[in-house]
Amino acid sequence: MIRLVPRLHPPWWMQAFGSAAAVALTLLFGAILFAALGQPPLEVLGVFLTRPLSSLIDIGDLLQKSGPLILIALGLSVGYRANVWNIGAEGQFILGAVGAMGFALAVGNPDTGALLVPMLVAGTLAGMMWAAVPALLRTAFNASELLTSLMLVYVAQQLLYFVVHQAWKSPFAFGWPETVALSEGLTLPVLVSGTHIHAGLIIVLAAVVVVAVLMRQTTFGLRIQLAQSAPGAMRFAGFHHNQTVWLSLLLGGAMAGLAGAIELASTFGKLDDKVGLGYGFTAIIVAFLGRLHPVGIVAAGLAVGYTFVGGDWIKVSHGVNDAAADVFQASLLFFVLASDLLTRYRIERVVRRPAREHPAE
Amino acid sequence: MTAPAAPPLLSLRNISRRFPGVIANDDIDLTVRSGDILGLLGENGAGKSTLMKILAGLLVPDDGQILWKGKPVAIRSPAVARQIGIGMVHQHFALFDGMTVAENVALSLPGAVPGRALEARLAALTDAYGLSLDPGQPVFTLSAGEKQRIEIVRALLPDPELLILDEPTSVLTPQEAEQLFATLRRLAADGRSIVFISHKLDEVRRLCSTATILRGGRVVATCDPRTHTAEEIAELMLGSRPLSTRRSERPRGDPLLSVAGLDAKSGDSRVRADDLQVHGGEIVGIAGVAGNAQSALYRLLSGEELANGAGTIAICGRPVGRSRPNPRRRLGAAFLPEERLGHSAAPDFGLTGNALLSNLTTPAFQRRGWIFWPRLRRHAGHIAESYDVRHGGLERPARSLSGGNLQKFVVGRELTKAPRLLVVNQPTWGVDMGAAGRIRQAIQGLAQQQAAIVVISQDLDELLELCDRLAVIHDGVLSPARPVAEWTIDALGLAMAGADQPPALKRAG
Repeated sequence: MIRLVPRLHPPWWMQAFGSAAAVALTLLFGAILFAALGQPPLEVLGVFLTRPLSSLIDIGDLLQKSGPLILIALGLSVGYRANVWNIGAEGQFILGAVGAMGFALAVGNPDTGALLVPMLVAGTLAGMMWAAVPALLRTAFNASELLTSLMLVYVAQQLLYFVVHQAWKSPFAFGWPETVALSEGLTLPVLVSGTHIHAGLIIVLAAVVVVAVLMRQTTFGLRIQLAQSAPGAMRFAGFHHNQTVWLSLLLGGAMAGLAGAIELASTFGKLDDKVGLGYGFTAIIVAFLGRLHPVGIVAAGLAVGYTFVGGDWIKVSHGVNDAAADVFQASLLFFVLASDLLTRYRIERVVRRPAREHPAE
Repeated sequence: MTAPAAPPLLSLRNISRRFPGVIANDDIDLTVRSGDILGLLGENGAGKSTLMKILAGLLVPDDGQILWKGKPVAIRSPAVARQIGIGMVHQHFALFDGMTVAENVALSLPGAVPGRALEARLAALTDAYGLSLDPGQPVFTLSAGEKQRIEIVRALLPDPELLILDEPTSVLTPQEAEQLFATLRRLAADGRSIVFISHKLDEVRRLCSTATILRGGRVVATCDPRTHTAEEIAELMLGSRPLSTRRSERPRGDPLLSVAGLDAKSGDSRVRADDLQVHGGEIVGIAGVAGNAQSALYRLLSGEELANGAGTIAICGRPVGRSRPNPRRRLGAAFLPEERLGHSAAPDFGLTGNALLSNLTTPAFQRRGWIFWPRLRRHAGHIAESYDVRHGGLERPARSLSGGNLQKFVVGRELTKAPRLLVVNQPTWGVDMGAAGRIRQAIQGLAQQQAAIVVISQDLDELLELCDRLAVIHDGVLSPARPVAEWTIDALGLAMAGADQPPALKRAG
């Protein structure tokens, strides 16, 4: 038997060593994995590590994949700090895309930039609305938001299937489940031509600043910090937990919805049955990897985005199959989380004492 | 078994135990004979818990001797206590809710015990002492009385000669308490000795052949409780303190807090208060033994829990029974709960952050959600200076401050708001003498400025020093407040023990 004992003050070098060890172990694991698949291990690793930064286009891809992760994780981190467990950002993200598309279709998909911001707002509101359901169920009936938010992901997917197969199906799609494409005017402008770096990046950066300021400078941040560290003092200060549940779920839903609307107005361009891509779930990992801190989340989002782009590259360049690429990406997360755990805790062997044994066999 | 000449089972001689700033046990002598049920009586803070911890091996005395069957012993650890034959039943249960009765009992035993042997011993014990328990039942389905029986069985399995029970009836219904007494009498008839720690006079008078009464860490009397009246014992417990009639003459203003027909649940406690009026310039104390819903009353008065109707609580004439803390603060009220770390202060925040907790209604510190940290930092520094708070920096976490310094800070934070009404629970709990004096002085100063003040406290000396009128809370029921001069110490002790409730407030059922 072993047990984990928290280290009170992990030294800085241990944290640095932990991160380096995690990267080294991932590379070692990847080398073994690719060698076992009959690929030249060093070459594959070289592609994985260098290609995401090798050109402006690749950097654009990296930012394109990291952006929604960062945006969603920022919103989730606020709730997680207050012990509000929204794990349904995937559904709120889908609703954001559906809401934005619905708005575009309702106003006739005009080729004008004037309605771009209202469309993003519509997506944001749709994500908020989706997150309001678990908030209502939690505050009115004390139903766990962990379960209800997750279950609503599957409802959101069915809603998506309904609109792309039926309600908003494009007449020009030759039977494919997709809507018409957004007009040029309702698409986010590209900032660096020839890349996927678009105006959504500015929104993500602004969101990082807004969340950081919100947490430090406002009574909302005070409420969240109190909910995290001293719920009794939160009640003393006059904050009511139900309001905290509402506010943090609405914020998480709004940011996931906004991410969905941004992706629709940039990467996707139209709705199809694959909108979502698991961003909402991966963002949960990003939020925790970033220690629920805005700056940490930016770093974690970039790191995870990096593995996405690198993973895509080894599929293309060496024909590494999807499953192996996914396993390799996941191994990085595994080793990072393990090193994080071992930095904060040390393992102690527990000598099995007969006293603790269960007598009734 | 025991020949008349045999030494007593347990004697304590000159036991002392000091903590910084307080002598918890001062030269205590105590004797327990085989088959005795000894009652250990005293107010909160009289030294009962310290003495019990010494016997259980959780604390080592600074001075004195413990004799077990006439031979000196050193009870260095709970294991030693168990080994020589001392069993403990703690006030708080240490049971795994998801496991069965038998599993919980098995967990407490050293070494692996075969299931069948254990069941046989369980059955023998439960039969012999009337501790009806179903070994296969999961613990979460049991009542408090049944859970306590598991604890008693656990304590009895090593076959102890002395069983110590700490406030065992505090969680029981009267019927369950009666069953417990029957069990204890049977244990005593078997030659086992029992130490029964309580602050409930009538229970000790019913159960115990001997009572040792502690006050201020000293033994003030050892007597046969059945031959004394409750009044006599109450006086021994509380001492014959002069009920000071010296009150600074403050003019009495308008009623700033009115409670009428309050009957609400908060947590596990029900609070009932029919009529309480606190006027400007007046300090009203609420006395009571620990665990009589004082915190629940505080939560209802402060708005952390809502009352049974808006009109049941009025602050400055406005009904606030259904309002949360900040609307009440806007009317000029200030609140200070018992717990510092985690309730009146956030342990991880610095003093600056903590200065904000009760100041969210102050426009100077926060407007539309935007916090003015520089002003707060100055304010926190100002509080720390005027209330002599020693701290290692305004941004150091509050938990790094000593209890007294943090309490001075939170008291200062409330008093600098110059509230019209202050409700404070245990203002000097766990605070050193110097800080306690400073805090009491500050509270009196506030009353001088015509504020209305409610002090909830378990410290009678504190209440007698501070208050103009006193009410007693027992089992959540608040008695009418009477001027301090009208209370006798007997009446106060009896009311605190729940023995003397005016008919109008008598509990139904």
